[in-house]
Amino acid sequence: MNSALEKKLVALCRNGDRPACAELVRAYSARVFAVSLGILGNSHDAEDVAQQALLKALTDVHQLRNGQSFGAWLCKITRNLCIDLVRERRRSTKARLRQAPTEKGTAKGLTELESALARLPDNHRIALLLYYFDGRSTENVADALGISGAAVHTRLSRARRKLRELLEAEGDTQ
Amino acid sequence: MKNTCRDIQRLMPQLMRGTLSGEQAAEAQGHIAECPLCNQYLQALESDDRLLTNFAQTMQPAIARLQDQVTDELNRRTSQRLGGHISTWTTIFKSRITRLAAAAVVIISALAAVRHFADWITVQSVAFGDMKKAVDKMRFMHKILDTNTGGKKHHTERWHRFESRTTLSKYAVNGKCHKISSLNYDTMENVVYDPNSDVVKIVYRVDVSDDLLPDSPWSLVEDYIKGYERQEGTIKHKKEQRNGQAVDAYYLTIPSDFRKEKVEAELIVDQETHLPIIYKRKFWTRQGDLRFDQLIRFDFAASAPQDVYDLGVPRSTTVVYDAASKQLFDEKKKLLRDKAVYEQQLNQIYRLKEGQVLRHIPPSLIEPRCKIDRINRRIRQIEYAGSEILNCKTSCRTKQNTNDDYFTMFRWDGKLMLVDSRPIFREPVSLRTAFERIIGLSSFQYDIPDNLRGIEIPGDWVVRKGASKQQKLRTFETVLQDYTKRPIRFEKHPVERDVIVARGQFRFKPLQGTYDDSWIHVFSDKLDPDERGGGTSASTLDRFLNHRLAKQLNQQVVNLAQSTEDEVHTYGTHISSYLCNMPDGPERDAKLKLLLENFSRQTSVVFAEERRTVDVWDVIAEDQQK
Repeated sequence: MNSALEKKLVALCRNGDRPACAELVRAYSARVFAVSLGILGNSHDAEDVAQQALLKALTDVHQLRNGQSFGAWLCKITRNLCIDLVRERRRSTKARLRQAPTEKGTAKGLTELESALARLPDNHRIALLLYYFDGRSTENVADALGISGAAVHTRLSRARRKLRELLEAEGDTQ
Repeated sequence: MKNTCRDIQRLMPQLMRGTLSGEQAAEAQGHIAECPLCNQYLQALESDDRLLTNFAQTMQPAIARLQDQVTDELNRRTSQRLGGHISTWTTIFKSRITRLAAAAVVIISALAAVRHFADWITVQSVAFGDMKKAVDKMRFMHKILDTNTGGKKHHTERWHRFESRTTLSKYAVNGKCHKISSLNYDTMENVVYDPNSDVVKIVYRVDVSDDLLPDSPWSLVEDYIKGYERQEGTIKHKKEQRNGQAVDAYYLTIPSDFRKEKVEAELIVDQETHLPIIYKRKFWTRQGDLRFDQLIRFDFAASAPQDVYDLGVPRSTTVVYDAASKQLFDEKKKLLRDKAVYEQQLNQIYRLKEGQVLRHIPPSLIEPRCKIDRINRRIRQIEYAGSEILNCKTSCRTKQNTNDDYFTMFRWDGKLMLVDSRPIFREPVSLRTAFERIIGLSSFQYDIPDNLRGIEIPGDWVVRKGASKQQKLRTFETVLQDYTKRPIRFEKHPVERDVIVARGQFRFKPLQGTYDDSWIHVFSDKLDPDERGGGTSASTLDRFLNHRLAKQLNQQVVNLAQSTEDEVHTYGTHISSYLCNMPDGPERDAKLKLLLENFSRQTSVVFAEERRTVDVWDVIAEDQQK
């Protein structure tokens, strides 16, 4: 979403405009879900936290500073809520995606992929998930993580390389 | 060799996305075809890409569920929760008592911010990022603008409040108060006092963008400098002492060219705080006369006037509320909201897939674009009506198109870009329009048989930015075959044609007595020094001859003349230089001869008409051949 449109929708949202809120939900739900899945490693928890994060952001939208990106702010809220949940459950950081129950009928290769994803460093995994969940756009990843486009490219390329090594180590790339 | 493989592997994600330039992609593909290691790596990457895409797809139901749940929850929350929360606050904020209380809080917090800011700057080890944060805390900016435009002296004082996004201004011409106003950029509520009518008007601004106020004093310095970078100006930076104060001095210049006047500016920024102190700028006319001389002084006071009454508007003045502008404002707001929804739909429908270079959007799918066009037209009408209300006719006065059946071409560069601000095809795209406007060929580069000239393809078009003509032709061929259900092919054939060949060494010799002696004037009759018709084009000799002149003459131009490759000149193409629609014959020949002689006089380049073999694209319908 371009920043001018985002700004307008946020301004409308501040005035309690429902369609604008729904539009922001539609535009950012994949991003929020990717961040929470990246941190929590479990799609059920990710869905719960993503829902809380979206509702919190829309309720507190008046707290968004002028000039601040709604997408980046929303990701920060999501991150904080995820960290709160992780702390609350005192879950081992190693658990992550390896234990994640997947959606219906796991396709061939997904289990290995999830296992490899779980072993990626956090920032690599979040960047990869953001990229594939949020329109395959490096600009969206840059906005969500508050880093430059060049840094996104580097992070994605390192993440892909590392993922490849992990998948090869599992010995099932074909 | 290892390095090459690493470089190519780095480019692979872009190669897979199809975002590499044609040259880079060709180089990478060439390497991959020969290098088994890279080939294997690319296959592995593609396999991972598929796995991750599948993984993202399996999560789509969860995301869809999430959207539904949040939207339901939002709808469930009655006005006492979300909307009510906001409207209650809006009511509280709007009350007079709260406004006064808020004003007091703002002043106190501004003072606190300045103190806080002062603390920051005395610390030697302060990090740059922290400094920026401290500067961002500044709430007010007082700008004093003195402008001399020859006959008139304008004096403006403006107080910007960054957090509440409001501006208070007092404007005087030749010492006499002309206008006092306040504008809230969030609500676009404009309070205007005109001393002549002695009335305070509350008007809703629909004629200006709501992005005019800088976000912070910090962004102001950045914005000034970026403005010069965008216009390819020169920026010189010096550390200086002014009145015993260490400052950063930026000397900014934009040289004169065919469009812009000469601009010189000086931006003085406090070295410690990074806040602007003085911004001076001067514009010159093309004749070298000083047209605009402005001095802006910045002051970051801890307090500022609260409203127009603090700036001298008598409290007894009648206040008039303009309901018509409010109605327009609300309508524009609704239209913008609708437009955002249609833009989302448009992006979904019109997007190009990876590797796709050209797409035809059939009329059945162009509805979101038509709706956006209608909304844009209405917004332009509203903005124009808004400017009439304020008597500041700054908005678009262009004649509105009312016909919705126009078709549009977009460029795709990862996002959709409209090629023109208006729909560009007045009728469904014919083969001729497609070759010239979509593919980018000149009329002498293709040949369409008469019986195929009538083919028309209604609908919109999306073209990938940077795609080659060859790629576009191949895709257009498929679109045409699908649409007409006929085996129509495009084939390149060498043919004998009269072409114009340019030779010699390019040396610019200005023509005296024209309205701009720095231009190269292209004309085929006696030059009228007052003529302002025709267009201008700034480019290198090669580009001008091959692209512009060839189109104007409807004849291929082969450039063999020697010139400095990056030497850019402005070419003034006068009306008499457009020979493309003249039938062949002695009259055209005479005009062409005169045009080329005029060009030679100014450039030393000599021209000759020669018979040469050139490539022409033929349109062939195989069913008719049989």
